[in-house]
Parts: sequence; C-alpha cells; structure tokens
Amino acid sequence: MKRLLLLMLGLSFGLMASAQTIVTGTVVDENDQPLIGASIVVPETTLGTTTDVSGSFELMLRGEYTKVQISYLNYKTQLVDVVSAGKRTNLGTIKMELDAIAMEDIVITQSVAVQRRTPVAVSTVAASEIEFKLGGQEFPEILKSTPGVYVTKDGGGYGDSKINMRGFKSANIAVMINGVPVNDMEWGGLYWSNWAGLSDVTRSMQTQRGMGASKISSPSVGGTINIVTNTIDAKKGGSVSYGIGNDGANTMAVSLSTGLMDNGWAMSVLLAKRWGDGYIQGTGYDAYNWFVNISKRLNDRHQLSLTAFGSPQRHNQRKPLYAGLKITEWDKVAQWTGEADKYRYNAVYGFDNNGKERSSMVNYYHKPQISLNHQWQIDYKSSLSTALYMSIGRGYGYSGQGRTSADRAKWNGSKDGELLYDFRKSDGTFDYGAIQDMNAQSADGSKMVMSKSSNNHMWYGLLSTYTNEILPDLELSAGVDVRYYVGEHKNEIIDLYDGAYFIDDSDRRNVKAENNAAAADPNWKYEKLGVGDIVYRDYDGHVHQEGLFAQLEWTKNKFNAFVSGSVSNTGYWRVDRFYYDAAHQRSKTMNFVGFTAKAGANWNMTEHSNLFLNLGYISRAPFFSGGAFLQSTTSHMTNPDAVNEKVFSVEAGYGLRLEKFALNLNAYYTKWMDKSDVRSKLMSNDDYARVNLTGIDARHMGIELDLRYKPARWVNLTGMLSLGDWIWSSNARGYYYDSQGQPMTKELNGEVASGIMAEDHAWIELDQKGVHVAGSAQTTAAVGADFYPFKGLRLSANFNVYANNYADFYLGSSAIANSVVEVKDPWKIPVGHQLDISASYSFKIGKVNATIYGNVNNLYNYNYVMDAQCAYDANGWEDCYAVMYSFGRTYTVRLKVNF
Amino acid sequence: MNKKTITRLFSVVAVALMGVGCQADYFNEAYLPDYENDGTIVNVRDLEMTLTGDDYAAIAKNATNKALAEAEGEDAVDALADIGKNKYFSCVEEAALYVPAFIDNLYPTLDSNSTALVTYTFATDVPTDVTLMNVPVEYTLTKEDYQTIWGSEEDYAEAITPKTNNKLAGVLPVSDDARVGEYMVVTYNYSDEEPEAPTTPENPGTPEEPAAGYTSVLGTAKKDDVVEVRGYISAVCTQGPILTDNGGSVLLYKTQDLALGDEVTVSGTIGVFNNGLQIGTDGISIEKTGTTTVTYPEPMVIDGAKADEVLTTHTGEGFCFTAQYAKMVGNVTISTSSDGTKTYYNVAIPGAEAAKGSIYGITPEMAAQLESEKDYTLYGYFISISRSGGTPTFVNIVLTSVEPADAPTPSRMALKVKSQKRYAFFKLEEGGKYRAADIVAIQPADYTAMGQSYGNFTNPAQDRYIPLYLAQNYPYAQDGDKLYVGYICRANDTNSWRVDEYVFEGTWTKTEYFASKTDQFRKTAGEWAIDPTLELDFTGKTAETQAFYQYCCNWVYDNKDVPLGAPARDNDGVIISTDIVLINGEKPKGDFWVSNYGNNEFYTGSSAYYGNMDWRPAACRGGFTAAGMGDLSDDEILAKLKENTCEVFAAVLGYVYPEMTADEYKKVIIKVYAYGPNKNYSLAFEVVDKGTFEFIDGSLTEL
Repeated sequence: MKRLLLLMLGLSFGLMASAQTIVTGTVVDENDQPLIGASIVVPETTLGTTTDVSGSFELMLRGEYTKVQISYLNYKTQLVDVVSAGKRTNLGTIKMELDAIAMEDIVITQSVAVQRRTPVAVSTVAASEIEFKLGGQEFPEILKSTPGVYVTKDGGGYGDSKINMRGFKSANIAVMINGVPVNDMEWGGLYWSNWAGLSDVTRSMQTQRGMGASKISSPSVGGTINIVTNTIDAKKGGSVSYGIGNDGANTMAVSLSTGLMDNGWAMSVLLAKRWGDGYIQGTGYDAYNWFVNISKRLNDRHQLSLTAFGSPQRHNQRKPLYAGLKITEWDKVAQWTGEADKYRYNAVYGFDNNGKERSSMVNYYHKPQISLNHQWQIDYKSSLSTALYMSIGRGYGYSGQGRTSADRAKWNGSKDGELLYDFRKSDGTFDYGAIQDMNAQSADGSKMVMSKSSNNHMWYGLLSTYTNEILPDLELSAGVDVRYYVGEHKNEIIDLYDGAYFIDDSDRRNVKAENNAAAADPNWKYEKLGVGDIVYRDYDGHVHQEGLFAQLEWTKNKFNAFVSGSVSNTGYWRVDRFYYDAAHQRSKTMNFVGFTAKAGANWNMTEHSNLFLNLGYISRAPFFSGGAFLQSTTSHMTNPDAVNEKVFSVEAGYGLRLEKFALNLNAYYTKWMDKSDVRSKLMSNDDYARVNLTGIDARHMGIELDLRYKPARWVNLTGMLSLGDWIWSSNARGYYYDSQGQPMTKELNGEVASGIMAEDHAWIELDQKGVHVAGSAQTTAAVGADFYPFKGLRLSANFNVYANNYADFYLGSSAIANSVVEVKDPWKIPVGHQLDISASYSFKIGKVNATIYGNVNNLYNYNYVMDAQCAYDANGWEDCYAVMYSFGRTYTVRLKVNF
Repeated sequence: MNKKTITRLFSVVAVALMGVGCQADYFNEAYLPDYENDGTIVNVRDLEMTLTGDDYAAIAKNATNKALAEAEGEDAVDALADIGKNKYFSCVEEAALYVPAFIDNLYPTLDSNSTALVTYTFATDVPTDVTLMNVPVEYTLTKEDYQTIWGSEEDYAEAITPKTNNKLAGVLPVSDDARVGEYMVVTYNYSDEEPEAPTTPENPGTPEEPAAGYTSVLGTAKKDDVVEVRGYISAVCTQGPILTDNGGSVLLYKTQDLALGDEVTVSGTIGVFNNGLQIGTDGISIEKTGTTTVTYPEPMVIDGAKADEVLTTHTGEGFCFTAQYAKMVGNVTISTSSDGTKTYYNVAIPGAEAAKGSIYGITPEMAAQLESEKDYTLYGYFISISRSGGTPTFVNIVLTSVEPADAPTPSRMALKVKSQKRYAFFKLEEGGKYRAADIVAIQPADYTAMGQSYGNFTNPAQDRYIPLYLAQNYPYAQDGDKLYVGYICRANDTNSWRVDEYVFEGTWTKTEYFASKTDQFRKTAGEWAIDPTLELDFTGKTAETQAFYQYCCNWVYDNKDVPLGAPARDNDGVIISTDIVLINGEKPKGDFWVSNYGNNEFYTGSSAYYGNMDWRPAACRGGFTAAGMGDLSDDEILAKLKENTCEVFAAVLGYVYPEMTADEYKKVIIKVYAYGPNKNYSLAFEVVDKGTFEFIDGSLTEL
C-alpha cells in the first residue's frame, strides 16, 4: 500500500529528488551516433539501466560503486570509472568500439539490421521487453505494436498464433533463428507452436518489414523476423522462475550459464515447462523447452559455438477453418457456456464412453534445431562465418478419417460455421462415445476412425559468409546457402473408436492400377485395416536448394549504400508409397531458378535525422505444395502453369532522434506478380475440386509511423500508426483438378477432362481486381506508456487498435465452372481494440535478486472479431463463418529469482 | 476512424478505467448492423427420429400421456401401457396423441417452429399370438437347472445334449403373474455329443493314437528346412494360428483366415523367432483340406520352477523348439503401452524368480474372459521365449482355454463336453407348463454364418438375411408354408427379441402386420402437434435455393425451350430430362427462355446464379418476345411470371420429392424472394399423389 501511495504521488507530482547518486551519460557508436538500448550495469550487482532514444542514460546508485559496465551487441564491453561528484555524476559521451575480437557470430547477426545504417524499416524488441510484456500471450504477440504487423491467436490453442506483415501471410514472412531460416521448405509457412518456448532464451527479436536486409537466397516478401538467442554472451549465473495464470496456466523455468570462462569455454542451459487448461474449452497443453549452448573461443581468430534447442509440446486445438462458427452460432452456444464465455466454446471438446476427455484436434510436435557455428577472423579486415545446421522434425496432428467425406467432416464438430449435432450431447460437448457406439454396432467396420497425420522431416543446411573490406570504405560479403530437406508425410490409424476395423475405400478408390499394381485387385480397397495401418497418404517431399549471394556495402561519412543479389536453384520431387507402387513411386524432379536484386542507401542528414531508400526485385520459385505439384499430397501430377512469383518493392524512410523524442516514418509500395493460389470446391461426387489459380497480382502500399517520447525520466510514451492499402490488382484464372490432380470437366461430377488445359478442362476466372486483401488489419495503431515511479517498479499500459480488416473469401457452392465470377469485397470486420497492462517489481530475497511480473491482457474483457471467412459472394457478417473473436481478459503472475 | 468510432473507443477506455468489463456482445451490438441478441437463445431445430423400444416405453410412462389416458378412461390407460409393452402404436391416432409429450420431454428447450420427423410403427391386424411372441420372457438356464436335468449335483454337464433335450421345458420357471399363451425365449448351452466318462488330472485318459494322414515332420524340423506339413489348426492368435502334426506344433506367423480345427497342407520354410520354430509368410502355400475336432494332449505344467528352467534350457544360441501344449497358473496383469496402442497380458507365476508368463497374440474372445490382477489357469501352446533388456524373461503362450483359478472344481462330466450357446422358444400352456413353441430361433452360429459380428441383426438387416436363411434351411418348402422366425434385433442401441411371420410363395415373404409411418410434428406456441406441412424457405441464397432454381431452369429448358426448337438430345440421341443437354460437349445457347449460362430462365424468372426470382418485366421481356408474347405490358408480364412460377414449381417439386406422399406431408409451402418487387412471396402446393403436386389456387401471396 505504501508503494502504491508512492506511485500515486509520483504520477501526480513527478518523482521527487532522492538522496542517491545519479550517474548520467550518453553512449554513441563509432560514427558518433547514439546507441539505443545499450546496457549499463554495475558489475556484480543487478543494478542497471539501458540507454534511451538519444543514447542517454540515468542510473540511480545507492552505495559506494566505482565502476559501471557498458555493453552493446557487436561492440566491445567497456568498464567506466564512476567518480562521485555529489548527487549527480555525468560520465559524458562514451564511444563504443566495434568488437573485432569478441567475434559475435556473423551467421547469427548478419541479417540483423542496424538503425541509421541499414536502409530498411526495422523494429527491435529486447529480451527485457519480452520478459516484461509477454505474460500469457503467444510469442509473436510481442510484436503486435510493431507497424505493419498483425497477430492473432487463430483458433486459440497453445502456439496456434498467426502473424501477417504488411498484409502478407506467414509463407511470405521469413523467420530466422540465429540467422538460420526455419520456414517450412515445402509450403513456406511456420507453426509457432514449434517455437513457442523460444521466448525463454531470446536475446532480441527484430522485424524488418518488406524485403529486409537478409542476404540469404530465400527471400521474403512481407518481412523478416530475426530471433537471436543467448549464446556466448550469456552472463555467468542463472535464474529460476515460476508463474501462474488464468485457466490453470503454469510456467516453470530454470537456466544456468557459466559465462565466458578463462579457458575460453562458455555454456548455457535452460529447461522450462508450461502447462495449463487453455483459455478455450478443451485446449489443454503440456510444453517443454530446452536449450543448450556450448561455445569455445579457440583463440583470437577462431570461435566454435554449438547451439541446440527444441520445444516438445502437446496441445489440443480449435481450428478456425473447421470448428469456426458464424456469429449467430456463437450466440447459440451461450445456452451451454453462458453469455460471458460463449467465445471460449470449442465444438470438438468432449468425452468418450469412459468419461475421458477427447479431442479430434490434437497436435504433438518436437522440432529440435542444432547448429554448429564457426567464426574465423582471417585477418583484420576479412572473416569467414559458417553455420552447419540440422533440424529434426517429429510430430503429428490428429486427422479424423471416415468412410465418406461426410463422415470425415463430422470430426470437425461444425460445417460451414454451423454446429453439427450428429455427435452433440445436450450440454454442448462433442459425444465421442456416440462414435464408439456407432462403430461397435457397425457390421462393416468403423465409420469413423482417428489417424495421426505425421509430418516428420530431416533438414540439413550450410550457410557460409565471407566478408572482406576490399577497399577502405567498401565491404564485400558473399556466401553460399545450401539446404536439403526430406519431409515424410503419412496418415496412420491410431484409434478405431471401438470398431472392428476400418476400410479406406474412399481413398483407395483413387489409386490407379497403372500407378499401383495393388489397385488392380478390386477387393484391395476393401482391405480391413487396423491400428498402425496407413490411410490416405504416405509420401516424402524432397526439396533441395543451392544458392549464392553477394553484397557490396559502401560507407563514407554520413552515407551508406549497398547493392546485393542472390541466385538459387530449388528442386522438388516426391516419393509416394500409397498411390504408387515401388516401380512408380518417384516423381520427376522439378527445378526452378530464382534470384533477387536489391539496392539501398542511407543518409544521416544530421546527427539527429536520417533518410533511407531501398528497392528490390525478387523472382521466387513456387512452393512444393500448392505450386509445383497439383496435389502434392496424393499425386505426382505437376503443375504446367507453375512459374516463379515476382515481387517489386520500393520503400523510403525518415528517422528523427532528439534527446527526448524519436520518430520513424516510412512509406512502401510492393507489387506482387504471378502469384499462385489455391481454392477448393466440393464436387457432386463427394470429392473436392481444387482450382489452381495463377497469374494473380496484388498491390500493397502503405505508410508506417512509430514514435517514442520521454518527457521525464520516469515516464516513456510510445505510439504507432500503420496505414495499409492492399488490394488484388488483377483477376485470377485457374483450372479445376480433383484430389488426384486430374483435370476435371465443367460439370464437376468427377469426370476427367481429355487433358490439362484442354478444351473441356473446367476453368474459372475470379473478377477480383480491386478487392481488398484479407486476413490482416490494414490499419493498426498503438499507444503505450511506461512509468518508473520508484526504484524497482515498472508499470506499463498499451492500447492497440485494429481496423480495415477484411474477411478472407473462398469459392462457395454457387461458383460455376467455365464462368467469370464476380468477387465481392469481403466483409470489413469492424474495428477491434484492447488494453494490456503490465507491471514488474524487483526486490531482494536474502542476497538474491528477484522480480515479480504481472500482466493483464485485454483488461476490459472486450471480445472483438479478429478473423473471419466468407464466400466470394457473401453479403455481410451474417454469411461469414470461421469467425474468431479475441480472447477476453487473461492474466499471469510470475516470480523470477536470479542468482 | 470517424468521430463515432473515436467516441466509442474513449467510452470503452473510460469503462475499463472504472474497472468494469465489457459484455460479450458489446462488439456485436456496436458494429454489426441488424445484430440482435437480447439474451434469448432461439433454439429451432429440425429433428428426425425413429422410435425405439425404449422410446415406446418412455411414451407409456410419460406423465403427461398418463394424464391424457386417465382422462379418457380405463381402456385408454391399458392401451397406453400396451404401447410400452408392445413397442408399437395400435393405430396412427395414438401416435398423434402421445408423441408430442414424448418430444417435449426429450427436447424441452426447443423453440417454436422446430420440427420433428418421427417414424413410428403401428399395428394393422396383428394376431394376438404374434403380439405375445414379440414380448417374450427371457430366461437363461442356471447351474441348478443343468443339475436338475442331469439328476446329479456332481456328474452333470452344463449343457443340454440330444439325450436330455426333452427335459429342458421341465426346468423353466413359471412366475406368479405368468399368463397362459405367453412366450419364453431360453438361452442355454447345447452339445451334439454326449459327455465322456469322467477323467481327473491324475488319469488324463488314454492318449489318442497319432491321427492317420498327418505328417510328423514338425518333430524334427530345423531352421531353414523347407517342409510340407499335413496337419490341423490347434490354436489361433492374432499373430497367426498354431499348426500341429503328429510330430509337433509351430506358429504359422501372420497367416490369416484359418480357424480352429481346419485341416491343412502347408508348404513353407521353417524360421525361428525367440527360439520358437515358426513358418513365415514368405513362399508359404496353404491348402485347406477339411476340418477336424481338436483334442489336446496332456499339458506340460509350467509352474514357477519350470518357467525359470525353460529360460535356460530353451534359449541357448541356435536352440529352437516346437510349440508344446502347456498349463500355466498365475496372476494375470493387463497393461497398456505408453502410447496406448498395445495391450500386454503378463502372468506372474508363483514361485518363479526370473520368468514371467506372457500371453501371445491374445484374441478378443480370450481377452474378454480375463480381468487384470486375477488368478487364472491358462491352457495353450508354449511357443517362444522373449527377452527383456536382452535377458530371456517372458514365457510366451498362445491360449486355447482359460478358467478362473478360484473357480469351483467343474463337474467331471462338464470337462469333456464342448457346447455352444443356443436359443429356443417355449409357450406357456394351460396347466402352467411350458412347451416348445413352433418358432425358428436364429442361433448364435447362424448370425456368424450370415456375417453378423455381434450376434444380432442391426435393423433392418434381418429383412435381407432371414429369407435367404429360410431358403437354405428349408429347401423343400411348399407354397403356403408358414414359419415364425425369432431373432435378436438391434435398433437404436438396444437389443430386443422379435418374431416375424414368413410365408413361402416361391420365396419366403414376411407378413407385414405392422406398418411404418413418418409424421412431421411442429412446435407452435409452445405445443407440439402433427403438422403435415413442409416449409421450404428460398428467400436467401443458399445451396438448397440455388439447387431448386437450377431444377427450374432445367425444366423450362426441357419443356419450354426444346419444343420451341432447342436441341433435345445428346450425341447419342438420349433425352436427358433433368439436365441441360450437351451438344458436342458444350451447353447449347438458350434460344428462348433459358440464359446462355443455363442457370437463369425468364419463363418464371428463377435464377440459380443469384438465388432469387427475377421478376423485373424488362429483364424478362426478351423471353416473352421470343415466344411470341412481346406485346404484353409490364403488369401482364409480371402476372405471367407468377402464373408460370406456380406451374413450374409444381413440376419441379415432383423432381425434388419423387417419393413424397400425402401420408407424410399434405402441403408444401415455398417462400421466395423476388427481385424487381424486392419482396418475399409465399406459394402453397398440395401433395395429391406420390411425387405429384398441385398449386393451391390463391395461395400466392406477398409476405
């Protein structure tokens, strides 16, 4: 209470002067530019602070301290004497030196942009901010106040978040961990549940919007997220933390680090566990996180670092596309949940005949990544940095199977946004026991069974960069980026749900005898299958990529400019063991050559302001799934229409850094050409037709602003505004294929056309020019305030607003083949907003330092729509389904003890 | 953001700062036009149900129905009670009277305008005897009954044999409230063979001579030997059957489709797994030559000492052995693997220090006889020894029979009787005695033979199988022969006995004493009642609306365009009446009423594309002009459109509901949205015959 009174006093009258010594100073880089976020600590203590936007700091010291330690990524750490001169001691301007000796691993940091030098729009979140604000949120949500970024919880399961940047989906956002790309090699996207535990060891998380500064040969369109974990820089010591939150959320973590020892070795280890019931009904989870880094500085020229980490987890899900409801259906579920909790409802949450909780949407995955980094400082002006890495993906999600597609769909609990009552109990839960009963009584085996949809992979990669200062102001970087990836995909029955066996004739009927000799036997498709048997699919996707990249960077006084380029070859083939026999199981290989060309310049006009400009052109290989192969899951049929997507982008920005005020303003224009897309439609023969749309153009342009104002030492204000204008700028035309990649006739009744793109091959054209790009709020804004009322206490409030968010569209049943259909502008989701508050207080327990954190997200418990889908001709919100509302109010409390 | 939005934002923040949370619907009410949720949950459902035996019982017990019956008098009370007993209504009026309360009790929260399509059974002219056959008392013979039949408490078999069959009726109990003429269905064990002389473990009987015709090669078989074995299947497990010849026994690994007692000739290669000999699937050929009765030799007793001993005597490198018939007594533990996919049956053998018993490939039938943590005596083939952490540990046995270790010592005769479960019907005669009834009971083995895995027919499978069963079992039936067939019927998760009457008329034909009827009940003003009206709402663009309008387009094409000259046949000359006819694979141009795309027509204005009726005279004038009616005024065209709609909808209803009869629905009401007037209209049609509809004059009204 006493502290609270103090806080109120502080808020009302400002902080009164105290009796301690106040140490001040300014930290600048080698070019005399202020370094924001440099760390100032008193050695052997937890006292410390960071520099503000002008590079200034102010540190209150109570007691006799003679030195402070100043450190910043890529710079030599300095120890500065503190000579007491009364109540205030000014250390003046401290200039940091680039650290050629410490050899920060270039592979890890080469893609990290530097403010006022790299000409891209960039935002960085430090580890301390993640620790302070993340609370019970999903890891990517820490970026939600970043311009151009839109993050939702998708279905709401653990790790099931979704991120868009500048309107581009995850397949177009490059995510790199320690400089190593982690986007899926087959479809380009990312499941954050694989990396949800990474927040425990993240040192910084940086977003670069647009084409970014990454030199690797797999370019991004929407932006790049660089996550840098602890490595050799970790300080000696450790920490233990425990937290609780709403809905039984628990977190527990312990970390230990030796720091860099005299013998050149350093080791960091972290183990963490998270578990809980989930905010959404029936989305319990158990997740672990492990991390180990062993580094050895061999000598002044060589350093080796081995980093391995992974986040094994199990979580139950609620998938918007399948279990997402219409708004009027959400109202109906209130009969079971009550009005206040209706958006927590999960249509697949239920129990079996033994009273055991079941879910048809469960995800198990573990994707450890191991990388061995070698840094070689060849001489004073050249170095070679190499990372050899591998990723071992093991896991699966549940995939309900059925004798018919209708049976299969029943596992989802809803269809087209309306609840299915086939297996619904009077309390609204899904009746898994009724499936057991149905199967047990069936004379021809189970009607519905559960399979695990395994997606395992092995991924090996080599990334090596050579850097040389070839002229006094000119630096050359060049390297290779080589990857090989094998993804193994199969569906295996794991539960017959009390039936005697399962017959997979709905999939096996699609197997052709000329591909798989087993299908010549008409009875083969009626084989009785049991637990462990394969259904639906069993194939490997092979992807290899070989790339070269180079960059020339010229730095002279206030100018910095670069040109860079890359070229890569991407090859795909598949090996199928279900639809093909041994003689036919390997498909042909498809190769695509892509390239990038980028250039940019930065001009530090004054010591406070800078201007930058960049532009680039990308030609990118189509993805394995939804690009190179017509039906990559079931068929070797390749897409004759597959061409490289092209992207042109230009961007300009302005930065202003004053003592108490900083601002970044930038504008971008991106033209996306020859994009491909896939839409599906149910045919009259119970099969899904796929329309492979090609030649789609989109135009994304916008303005982004972020600013920071520090009117007094105890308060820091932030703001962000992002205005986007993203539309489809061309119509899309595509051809219909069945689930086996065969061309369909326009009746869409299963009849196969005479050839791909033949006269009778069904097509459709979407008149979508001018229609808004969906799935991400085109306007976002945020304001935030941080208060430091007295030593140890920090309070923060952040208010985020999302507007101009459009529902995604799909081809409804009324879309007719061989016609031009007019796509209506989808439903514009009304504005959403939420207020989050955070607090932390640091104190001593005996001789150790402790901090208690508290977070409340969505303080006023406001449920707003974040995502939705509508048919292409929908008239408004009534026609939309997969409507996902935001979480209501959630909270976490955590205690962390450092030693 | 406009001013309104900003004001809302600030108001929300103000609310938050005051510490009050938002209501769940704040967003919806603030931003969604036409959103209404006053907290009243509207729960309108369209149900479909077929009444089960339990449902009839519930109807009879329903308090509202009882009150209704009591108000009618004593006969009505008895009639209501009979509904529960008979599991059908005596007439359709009963259904109309009593089903509403039943639905209301099941779904008390459904709101008005919910419907329930209820299918029920009602009696036509059921003879009393048939009624009684369908509500038999069920009885299973007890141990005491068998002792009575055999006249001994020791030397008896728990089975009926040909010699004792005539004593069965005499042991059936007659309850105090039993009525003459009622039926009883009895479940009992039956054996074709008479029991053998008593045997004891000390006197196992005379070992049988090796059977002639079987080989002895398994006694000397070694790994990699290519053998041809003539023998029989002596045990089965999920990993394959045990093949026995006069020399020994081996596992036929992963071989399927062989049953206990099958005589076979097997060619294959001897393999070894866990020191046990087996024949794998590679290169195997199996010829089934007949069947035999399986008898087992004196078992090797695997007690604790023996189990430990075989771990060393049977596991040396290169050592292999043939399967040996054995007896094992111990405590069975049933456990599941960590991933839940496997179930282990381990046996703790008293006195064993290192060895554990393990049941190999247990069949579901055997597994059903075991409970975890209980003691059992297990008989079967000792086939192999498997390892735990590299150390021989598990003595694997393929089960042939199991009995609880604490079971009372079975009668000496019972040990030698192999029996099967059977059913029989009896009828209570005057004098209080049961007599065998003239009803053919479908036996457990019959269900299996007919491919029914669960010992019953899942309704209505019996109607397919019983005529075939009778044809096979009564090949000399003459016209007019009559049989009553009793069977277990599973309907809506409940098993019950039913008896049907069949008459031979060239084929066996079921006598239909019962009829099935489906009525639509609708909840109106909180009350359920029969409402034989089908309402179709085509005012919104839904898949159903578009499908209906597509039928309209097709009908107009076939019946209006084609007579006016549009092509009527495909390339093979076949008329397709419900689809647009393709010419050279292309949809022909709609010459008159139907548009080029084939999904709009201007005879009625139906548009499958837009999901509405286009009643704009100007838009439709082209069709009228082409049909020679270009001089009509706008009002006249609109009137024509309405008139044509009545004509076409009546025809299209016939396509969409070809099986609908007036018994099911009397009337169909269709609601449509008309573009032009921009209003909703309603039209009504009468169901005049099966799949035939007639517009009800004057029913086209604006809503």
